[in-house]
Amino acid sequence: MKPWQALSCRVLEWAFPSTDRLPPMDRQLLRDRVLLMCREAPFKMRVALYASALIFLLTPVLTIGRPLPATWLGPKLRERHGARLARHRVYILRQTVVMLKVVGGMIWGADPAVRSALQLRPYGEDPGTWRTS
Amino acid sequence: MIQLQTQRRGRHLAYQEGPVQEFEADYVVVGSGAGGAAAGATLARAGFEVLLAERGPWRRPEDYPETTLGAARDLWADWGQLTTRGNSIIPILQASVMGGCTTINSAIIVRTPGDVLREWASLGLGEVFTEEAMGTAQDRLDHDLSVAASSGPAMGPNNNIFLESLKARNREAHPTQRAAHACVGSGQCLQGCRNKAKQSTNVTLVPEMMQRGATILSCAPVQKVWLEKGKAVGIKGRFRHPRSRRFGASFKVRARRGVLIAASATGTAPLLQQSGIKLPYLGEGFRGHPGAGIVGVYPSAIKMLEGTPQGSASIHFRQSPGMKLESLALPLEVIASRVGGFGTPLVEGLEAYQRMACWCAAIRAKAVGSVRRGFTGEPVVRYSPTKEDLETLRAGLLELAQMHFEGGAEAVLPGVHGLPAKLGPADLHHLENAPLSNKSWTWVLTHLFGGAVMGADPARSVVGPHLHVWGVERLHVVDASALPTTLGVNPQHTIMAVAMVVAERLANEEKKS
Ligand SMILES: Cc1cc2nc3c(=O)[nH]c(=O)nc-3n(C[C@H](O)[C@H](O)[C@H](O)COP(=O)(O)OP(=O)(O)OC[C@H]3O[C@@H](n4cnc5c(N)ncnc54)[C@H](O)[C@@H]3O)c2cc1C
Ligand code: SF4
Repeated sequence: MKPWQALSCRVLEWAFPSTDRLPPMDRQLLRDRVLLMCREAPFKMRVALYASALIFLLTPVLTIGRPLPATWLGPKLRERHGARLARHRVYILRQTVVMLKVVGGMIWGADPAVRSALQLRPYGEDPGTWRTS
Repeated sequence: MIQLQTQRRGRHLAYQEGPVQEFEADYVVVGSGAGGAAAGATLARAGFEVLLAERGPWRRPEDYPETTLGAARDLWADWGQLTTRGNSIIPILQASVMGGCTTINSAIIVRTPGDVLREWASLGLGEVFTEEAMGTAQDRLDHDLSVAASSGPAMGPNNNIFLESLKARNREAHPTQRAAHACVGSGQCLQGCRNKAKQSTNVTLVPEMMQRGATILSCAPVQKVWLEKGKAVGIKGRFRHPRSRRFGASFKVRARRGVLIAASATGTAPLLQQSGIKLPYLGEGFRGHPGAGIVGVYPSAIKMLEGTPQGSASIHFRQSPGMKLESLALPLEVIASRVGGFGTPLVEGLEAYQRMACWCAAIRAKAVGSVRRGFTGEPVVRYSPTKEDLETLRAGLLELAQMHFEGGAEAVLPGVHGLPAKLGPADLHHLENAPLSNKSWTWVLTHLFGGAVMGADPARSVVGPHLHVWGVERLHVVDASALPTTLGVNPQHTIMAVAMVVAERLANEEKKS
């Protein structure tokens, strides 16, 4: 995995942690889906994902006044940073959190353990096939 | 449903590699969505040899994805990443698959309102799109696409509470009419109907065309309309692999009688531009029904995905202030972006998913934008809802919030920047005074119109009253891009009827000559 892909995985994991009721997102699933996107999604989408993760990493100074990358923050502070970035007055900054939630939501919401905890039917495989004749 | 008699069989060709592939047909249709399939089927029924080229692959219900990520990859254009450019970013959801948006839509069917036809008549289009002609086409479509009111398992608690809340507020309320046969209410229309209930054109009109001898090309993006001496003589394109997106063989199709473009409101104008057509109004007149949803959180389970995603609606406010209200089930994966917070508060909010109901307002927007071919060939849509549109949306979300509380919700999630993430019944003043700035609202665009609009005046339109492109012989536009106004109702039925009326006319004229 390239560093920017690993960073994207990390930030998505921060966005969708486990709670008392819901299990953590399956790391392997997250990795596989991020890699799938990196392989197949349009360039624009990949760049938007990496840029959003990078902005999340570098902006705690703008949201909670800590001149540190988000990796150095404890979970509570990091979540406060995320919540403030999501409500930031600069439109493009808060759109980066939308991007993280859109991509992360698509992976987290398909996780079989999360779905089972919410009494949702597990998804089967996406066949990815099409008619050839 | 369409019952097919076996006649001469057509053929289907998907992604091809190797030398240039050449074809010939009476009519060539570009795009297999609502407009293209309706026009193509009408011409095939009239006995013409038709070739239809679709940029996306042909997926059967068993090929459809299960997950939303799979739908983004396999069915949605550009993975759902097309957005407007303007004073805010609005996602534009379109399809890139056989069946176009009919494959991913909710299959709501609404007849063209009389006031829309009268408005078109005032633009000089009344002779062609009469109530009678449109009504006849829509009768036929109702039959072919098994149109019926949502009922039984298609309803489910989300749709039922929506109806009851409307009635409690003395609003017009109805179960939606839908093009679905024996819908079991799996709530998965956006991912394509794996239950073979939804009558999207990839399982109805396109197979019918093939049965009637048509050639269908899939994975076949058309790059240019082939023009010779002011006449459309065919199309040129290049097969593209749906997975690797690698280009394959080039293809050329000669059209003996004409070319019909139905590449959607975001695709048609850029394709005409790419083909060298220079008309002053090309790309202009882009309109839409931008919409937004509001989530209600209820004390007990709603199970939003039980029932069809959009089984009930109201046209109470269609004329004034100009919006349609609908129930809307969103999968867990999509709702995640609508819940406030980040990390633990976000996931804790999502724990209530099974107690959530989502309802939406689609605005008959006054905004007019444009669509152009971008530098790398992608459509560039410039579009910003006006202040009046924002006022309408705000009124719509307020109405929906009140309906949620009427239905027993304990809170609503407005998804509006600057407002608390969660509002209780006593907090609605926040919504009433929500900022009228596009950047504060979470819009989405699914009903699009224009870019190659019809009209009587070549200076203010791209196609004439018979949908023929001004100044080019034998070239027609038969999709949403030709519609000169918004409708205030779901557009599929109107687009299909318009395409059928024009194709029938073409067929009759050709037969006479
Ligand atoms: C999520 C969603 C839900 C909706 N729900 C409803 C609903 O319930 N009821 C309703 O009435 N309307 C609904 N709509 C709107 C409706 O589906 C569309 O208005 C309608 O399908 C538009 O028809 P069209 O022929 O203009 O374009 P489309 O149906 O989009 O078809 C255009 C086709 O052209 C193809 N194409 C584009 N460019 C090229 C090219 N260069 N070469 C070859 N092929 C090309 C595309 O891949 C596509 O298949 C919904 C839309 C969406 C996105
Ligand atoms: S609700 Fe389910 S069964 Fe009904 S049309 Fe949609 S996908 Fe098909």
